[in-house]
Amino acid sequence: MSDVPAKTVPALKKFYWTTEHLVLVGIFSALIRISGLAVSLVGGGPNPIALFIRNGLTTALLVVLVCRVRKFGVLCLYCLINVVISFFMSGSLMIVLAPANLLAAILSDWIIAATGGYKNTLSVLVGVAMYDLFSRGIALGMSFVFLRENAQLFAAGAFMIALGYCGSVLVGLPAGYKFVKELRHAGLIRER
Amino acid sequence: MKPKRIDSENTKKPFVATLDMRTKLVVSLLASCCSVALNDWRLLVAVNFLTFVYVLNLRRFKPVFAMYAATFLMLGMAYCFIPAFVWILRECAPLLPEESTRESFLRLASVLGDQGFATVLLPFLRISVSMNVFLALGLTFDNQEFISVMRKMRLPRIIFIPLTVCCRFVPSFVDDIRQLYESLRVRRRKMNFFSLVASPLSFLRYVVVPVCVRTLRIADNLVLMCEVRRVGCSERCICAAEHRMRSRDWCVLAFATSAAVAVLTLKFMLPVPATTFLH
Repeated sequence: MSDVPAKTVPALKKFYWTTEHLVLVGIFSALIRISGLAVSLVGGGPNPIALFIRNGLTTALLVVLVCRVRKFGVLCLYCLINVVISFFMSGSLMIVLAPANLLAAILSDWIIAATGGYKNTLSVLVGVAMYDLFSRGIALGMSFVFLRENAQLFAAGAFMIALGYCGSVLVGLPAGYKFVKELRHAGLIRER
Repeated sequence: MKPKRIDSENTKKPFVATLDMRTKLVVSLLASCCSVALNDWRLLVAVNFLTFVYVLNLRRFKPVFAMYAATFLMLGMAYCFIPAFVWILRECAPLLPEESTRESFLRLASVLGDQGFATVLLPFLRISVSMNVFLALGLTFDNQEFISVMRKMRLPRIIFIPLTVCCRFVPSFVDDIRQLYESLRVRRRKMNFFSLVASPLSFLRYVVVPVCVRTLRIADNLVLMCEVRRVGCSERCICAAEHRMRSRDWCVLAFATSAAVAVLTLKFMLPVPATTFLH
């Protein structure tokens, strides 16, 4: 037998996001959308209570996702996937808000990294709360563009957005903390 | 009875459904841009008429009219909510201690209260244009077409993999939630607006937690499958033929075998020293 001539292997490209992370972000994006829709349907349509609970649930699942992936930029990736899905499913002008949403996500990731890192659940809660706040602010701006002729409708839209944020903070963050604690106990989220 | 002949006429799709997804996306984007940019109600009515004909071509009347009914309901609720809010502002303003706060309350009440019904028309037209094109895209959405469009667009890995997973698992999650709902019905537990308000923790416990746990397990299985098939991994996929025994491997094996045989032979040839306490 003869030796195989040694080939020069090119330097392998290492990816920052592994397949596991990308799969998790994709699955949780689907789960957050479907669970929000399920709450809206069970709750009887667009009413304040269903909106309150729906936002709380989506925030809780987002906290679980960030604690599971535990990498800088996870909120950016989630935001990017969401924007692309929304564009492909509705083709709306919301795609122009993508840079603003991504900037909000980067700021939130930076806040998580600065306040203790992704392994600290409280830092994750602060980061997700800030991400919700920034994205609500952007949504408020977009609703102004659509409803600029009528202050009443804009005020109603602002009220719904504020109510949704209250749901995220008052229901979503504590529920997310509880979920993460139980999932850690079940071994589905690693401790360190 | 004569069997019915199946031909292309019987299975003919609506015209809008036969369009490529990218065409529908561009149409949606153009319609959204027009709806946001236009301020004249006559032009918005014209755009609305065109998009309404576009979505009615699908001949799916129930979801279209259901969405319009929901939009009317939402706008009606918003329009009715504001007079009550204005009344509360006007009643609470005299009770406030500070003059500046009282004035800002009254100013807000006057701004909100002075809106006529005509100013509702433009927002409604904008919303309906967006809704028409959204319905046309959403009602003709196909997973396979979506994935093939993404392939053609050569999206980067960080977008392609999550989008594919998301598209693949949306129907699975819908089935899971439907099965959970059926199992709750068997246990005589109702999941409606009143039960959601009365005990939201029950909804979390019976629906959300099982779906969340199942999601994490699906993710683990999917990652394992991707690792086995080398999908999206960072290591280079090495052909199996490159993994074969080389001469250096045979040399080492030969040396190891010779060494083992030599040592065992010497064990039987040499006298055993008294090393244990049994001798």
